Amino acid sequence: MSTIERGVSPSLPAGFEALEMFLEEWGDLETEDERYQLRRRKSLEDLKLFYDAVTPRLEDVFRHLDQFEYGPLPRAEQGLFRLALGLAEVAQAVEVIGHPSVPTTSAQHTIQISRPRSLK
Amino acid sequence: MNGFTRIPESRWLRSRDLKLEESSAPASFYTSQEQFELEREQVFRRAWLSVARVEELPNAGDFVNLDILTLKAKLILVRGDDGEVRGFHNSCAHRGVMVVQKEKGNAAQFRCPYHAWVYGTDGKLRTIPGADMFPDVKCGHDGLPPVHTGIWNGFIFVNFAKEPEESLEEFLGEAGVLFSDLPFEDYNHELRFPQPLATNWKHISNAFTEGYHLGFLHKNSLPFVFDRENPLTDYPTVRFMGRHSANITGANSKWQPTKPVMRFALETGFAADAELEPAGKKLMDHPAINPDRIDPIMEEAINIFPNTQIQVLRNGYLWYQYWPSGPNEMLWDVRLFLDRAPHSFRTEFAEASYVAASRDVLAEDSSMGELQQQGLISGGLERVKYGENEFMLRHFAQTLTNYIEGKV
Repeated sequence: MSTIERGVSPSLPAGFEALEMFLEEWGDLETEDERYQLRRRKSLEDLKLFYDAVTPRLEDVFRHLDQFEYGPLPRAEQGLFRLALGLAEVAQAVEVIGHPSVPTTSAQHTIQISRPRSLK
Repeated sequence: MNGFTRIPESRWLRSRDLKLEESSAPASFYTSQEQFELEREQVFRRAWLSVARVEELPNAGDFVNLDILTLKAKLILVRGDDGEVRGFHNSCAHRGVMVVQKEKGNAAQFRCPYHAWVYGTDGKLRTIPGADMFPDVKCGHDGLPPVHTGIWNGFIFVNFAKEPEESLEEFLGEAGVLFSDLPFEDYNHELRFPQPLATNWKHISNAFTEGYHLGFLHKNSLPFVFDRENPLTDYPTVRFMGRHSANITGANSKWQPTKPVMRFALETGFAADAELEPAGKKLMDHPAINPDRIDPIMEEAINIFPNTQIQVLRNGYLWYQYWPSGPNEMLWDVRLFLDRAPHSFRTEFAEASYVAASRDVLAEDSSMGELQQQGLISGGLERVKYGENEFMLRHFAQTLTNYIEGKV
């Protein structure tokens, strides 16, 4: 569930202001499927813009998040983490596939990923 | 072919070494309604089929509700008070209503919503309102229509024949013995990627029993597999065990991640290293797996006839089930089991990266299956070709045809 409040302009922790421009699109997405579908809708040029901005900050992002216990994050940190998770999808397009998504898939392609059990 | 067949020391295995001479199959093998009906009736309604894991039903009363698309069968698997796992058609003994609607859960009994007939977790009728209206129905005797069920190494199999021709043990044969104690139960973090596809199920099965396409279709998405010294990505070890088989895919020892995000994910040491982490994990190190100690190795795939593939990975396993619902449509159920869930923000990122990478590989394969089926339905190509390096496809086509004809 998104904890980003409506009507409050989204912000990131200090030092990450330059990435705030991506929050509107990526900051609310909660699942792999949502991030995948956004990745598919965007042009490779747009995805590269995101990739080029976030990738050099990846280690900084996690060094910042390392200060928090693994679990629900404060609003600004949650936005930061969601940008990183967005990069996991975007990097597939930019580093691996060279297209927003696998170009031979049909337009309606999706794979609903679920986590049915985690016993240990 | 009896026993195990491995690659000769000096060169890659070829179809002719195995006397698999049939180098093509009619397009109708993949497209005709008649072939599908033969497979449905003579394969899926006769063979043992893997459908669940015992970890899904740890306690008495635990149940799962399954839709077996190929047979339009609605199946309930439930663990009884005696600890036995039983299978039933989800169909009230009265007038057939599906008794259980929940996908999974725990129940002391099942109650039909229509006239409140009540069943125990052993499938037997317990009570009928106005039982004297049904003098021929006996509580404690009649019940939900049973389906034969068996467990092999934690995998629950079902058999829809009235009387199975073979026990599960006989059906699995040598493969069942060889892989009987692989420690699948240690891998409990599951990611599931079910895909409904507009293709024939055998195309997807075929894709995972030839390495030929790996260096082309997946050149970018599986960069650690391609090796210049093995340009057609032949399997370094192949084993045939009657109707079942196993095939190993190697990896490129020289490959290093160079792309920054991929490298960052791999360096967390989680999930993303499923194919890449050095040996030391129990499943991959089991003596029944990788007998030639191929190193590096991406996976060993165990093919259980007709529609199951279990891929042993470095720190987990993949379990594929292929379920045709017609000649041109299927469900490819992909279940990935890892040894641990994410335990930090970094490892959650690594898992997201691994999931994205895996999805894209699956999407490449499934899209080829769909394009292949459209190409075949077009009607110009009369026969598909199976190369000297695609001997497992020849073996599968032959096994399937023989099984349909009652020869294996």
